[in-house]
Amino acid sequence: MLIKDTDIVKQIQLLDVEDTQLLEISRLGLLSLNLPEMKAVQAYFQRLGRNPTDVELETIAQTWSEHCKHKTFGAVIEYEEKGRGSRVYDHLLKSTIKKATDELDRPWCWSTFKDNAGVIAFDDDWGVAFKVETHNHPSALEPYGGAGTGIGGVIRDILGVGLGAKPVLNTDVFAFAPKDLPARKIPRGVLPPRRIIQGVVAGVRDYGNRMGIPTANGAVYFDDRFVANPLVFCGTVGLIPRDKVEKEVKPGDLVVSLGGRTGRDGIHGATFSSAALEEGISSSVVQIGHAIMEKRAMDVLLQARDLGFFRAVTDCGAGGFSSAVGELGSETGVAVDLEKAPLKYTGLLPWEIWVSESQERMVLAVPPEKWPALKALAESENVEVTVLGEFTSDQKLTLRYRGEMAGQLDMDFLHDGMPRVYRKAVWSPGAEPPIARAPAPLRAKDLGLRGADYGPVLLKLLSHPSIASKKWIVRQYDHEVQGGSVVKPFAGFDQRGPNDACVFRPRLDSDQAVVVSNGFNPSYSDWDPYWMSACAIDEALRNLVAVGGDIAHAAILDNFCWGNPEDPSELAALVRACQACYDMAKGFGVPFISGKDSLNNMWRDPTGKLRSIPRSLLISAIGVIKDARRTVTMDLKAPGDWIFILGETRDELGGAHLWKAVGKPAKGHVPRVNVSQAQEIFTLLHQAIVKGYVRACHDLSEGGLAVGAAEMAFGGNLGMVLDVSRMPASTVLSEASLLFAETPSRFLVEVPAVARKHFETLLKGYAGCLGRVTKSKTLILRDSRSKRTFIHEPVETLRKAWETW
Amino acid sequence: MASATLIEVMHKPGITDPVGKGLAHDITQMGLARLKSVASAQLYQIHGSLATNDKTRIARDLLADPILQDYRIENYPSPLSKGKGTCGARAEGLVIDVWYKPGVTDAVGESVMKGIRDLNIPGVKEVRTGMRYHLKGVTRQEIAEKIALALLVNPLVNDSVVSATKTSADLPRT
Repeated sequence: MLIKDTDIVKQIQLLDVEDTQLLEISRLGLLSLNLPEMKAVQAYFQRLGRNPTDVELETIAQTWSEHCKHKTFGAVIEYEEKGRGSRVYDHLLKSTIKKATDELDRPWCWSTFKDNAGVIAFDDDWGVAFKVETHNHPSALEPYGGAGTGIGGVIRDILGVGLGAKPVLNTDVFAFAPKDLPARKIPRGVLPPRRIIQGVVAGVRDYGNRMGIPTANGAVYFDDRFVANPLVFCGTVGLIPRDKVEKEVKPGDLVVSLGGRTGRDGIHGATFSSAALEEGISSSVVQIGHAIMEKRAMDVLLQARDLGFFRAVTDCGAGGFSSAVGELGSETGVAVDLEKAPLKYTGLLPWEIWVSESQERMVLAVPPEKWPALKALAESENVEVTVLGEFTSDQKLTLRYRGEMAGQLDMDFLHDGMPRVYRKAVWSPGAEPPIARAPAPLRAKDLGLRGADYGPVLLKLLSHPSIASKKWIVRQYDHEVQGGSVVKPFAGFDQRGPNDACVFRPRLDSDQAVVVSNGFNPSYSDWDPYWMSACAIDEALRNLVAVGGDIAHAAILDNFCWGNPEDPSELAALVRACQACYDMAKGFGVPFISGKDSLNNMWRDPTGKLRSIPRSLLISAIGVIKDARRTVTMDLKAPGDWIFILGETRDELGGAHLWKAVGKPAKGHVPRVNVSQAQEIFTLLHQAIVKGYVRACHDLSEGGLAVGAAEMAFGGNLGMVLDVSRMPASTVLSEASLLFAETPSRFLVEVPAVARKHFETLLKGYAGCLGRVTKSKTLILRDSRSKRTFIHEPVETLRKAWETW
Repeated sequence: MASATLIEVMHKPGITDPVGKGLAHDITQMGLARLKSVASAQLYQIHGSLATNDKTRIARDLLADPILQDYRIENYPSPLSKGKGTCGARAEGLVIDVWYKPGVTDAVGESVMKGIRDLNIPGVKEVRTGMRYHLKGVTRQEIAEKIALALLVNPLVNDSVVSATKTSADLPRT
């Protein structure tokens, strides 16, 4: 069959054109392909002796986009540290993050880095799948639709892992500018932070609640630099039978689309997500989700899975059919009749049908003999299913439109024909802000305080939006649907205390539970992205252990949100963060199972300058808990119990929330992870929890000891008297560091008197006994050596400050 | 579009309106206007020819919760949503209607279409949904427009109409 040049399928003349024209073709078609890539395309079609069609070029652009191909993480990177030498990373992902997974080689990791989500064993018969994605640019433009389709998309990833997993939990982490940001700091054409916050929360709420999936874990972080480019991370956990983890397409299987119809919405989303945000973006990139449609598609899919109606499934995300069908058929070959796709309205060109990112669509590989039964099942649930074509054995992607050939590409060119990306990364250690080297303040007067009363600082910290109660958000989410919750978002007296992680039972006939937590602190990356990354991993695992999780059966996910990867110093920062991922994963013995990156998170400020967001890495952790009854919450339980701090405290106030609360420029050293010590503390604490020595446990993170102690106190509506001079430390610490340092790997633990000796023996060398829980509802932090009392605040005052936001 | 019906679903008097309360709180907190209160309502444009009886069935049996909500049926576009400016002494506050732009997916509208089909009512071609905010105490057009832009409308996906309201005595409740 010949490919003809028509009004409907156009041929693009590129066989004999110069380099400048090649780039012009890429630019005019919004293909986001660079010169080496365009030249590779030209050479391929020169070999075929014909010009490509628009459908073919769009297919290549989508398949090779940063979003789908992860060019930066697959690149060869020459990393140089000024004055210290250099190192080559051949494939950044495989030589750092994935390398740790391969070397750890855990038998309970059933599927890592190859499917739509990572899968770990839950028990002998069931696995849990976990995926977290970002939906940043769409959420900046239309927060409600962007966040809703973000959660809708990650739910489809879980439906599209293996032969489909049942979604059992959603998790959401957001980064916004503060809602009271002055108008002069908001660029023209950008929605004010308040609108973005409310829209994103409503979008996540409506989609998750309508689909009947609990949203029980999350975090919200604030920094001015997220004003035009908020971060919206959406994650979903799914439950999958062990024999449904693998998929296999066979030649002759039908290509079947299931769910929503195809429209013009979201065309070029994959290439759009790889570009910076500027004013004047077209509304065709906006998508609005339809949760009820996805719920119906899910109901059909899970029934069809158990009835064996299909051999493979994947979701239509960025790149639409092109990405989904192209991936499923990459080993065999596939032929598609584009006119068969059900459309929302007429008038779509073949290439538009092929790359449209309309929501709520799945693609299945269905053996022909199962098709009638699948069709009948779908119709009974009011879901549209359509045969688009068939999988072949010719290793080619064949696209037809109304019987005419619209394009044909070799699978090996499409998936392996992209030229390798070579990049240079340069890290200047001197580029750290000078504040990183300045000494930390030693006295209250450096923070603008009189005497030794740090109470006002603690109250400011508690009401800082990143720390303060997120009850108004959390309570909009249904966190109880499906009935499996064990450790919920809030705990204690009047449900006032914020738990560190969520624990739930995905199978109600089993006492086994799943724990999900996260770690996120982009402000440390202003000091060093290596330690930002290390601290995020420590925090995610710390939260997981604090409620009863076990790092010996836990896995993590990475989600990078970064600036321009073609900038050598920005790329060097990324390399450092990835290197920390490898070092920490190996140190903790916790593998990565999946991940995602969102690059080019940049925006123009009101003066027209192109700005980057803070370099951000979200670490999401998942683990299996053998006995859901062996979990703990963070609220104080009984007067008279002993309070221990675990882990060494250091003079680490760099990037700490203290500075944001007092409104002074940050000083001090960035928090660092001593991974061998941390690994041992986490392991021993888990043993202590399993043995029943622990009544309450809270991780120390933003705001350090003072904030952690305050949250435990108002969580239980009880007081504490703590002597900070007994904190384990290898140097003499400043008062500010004792109270507010954000040194990682630390916990505050409530231990009943009867278990004190056992606990101290088990945690020898890591635990310091600070004091006791008191009946009087007052939090007292003092130093017995200097006889100074730093904090003396009624618990009710602390709670009110925390709940003001 | 030739013939269309507008159905408005609002809270019964005395029933808490959380959306209205939240908006009133935001308007006051941002210092956009002084107002008495905000009442919110859901709007449904039903395109297609419908018998009066069927319009009532759609509003009563499908869209309104009989315990908490009232509804009102009128033709669309109605004289109400066309009007610009204040209505002199009769005005007790302006009304902002917010709609999705044509072409933007309206998931709720699609679900309502299906609901109407399930009621066995033929002849409906499209349903578009929107929100109405009655700002009691706000009488200046430019202030209402400022509120719309600051809190209710995303120009990328929404259209809005600010109009004068009739006094509640003029508005028949069913």
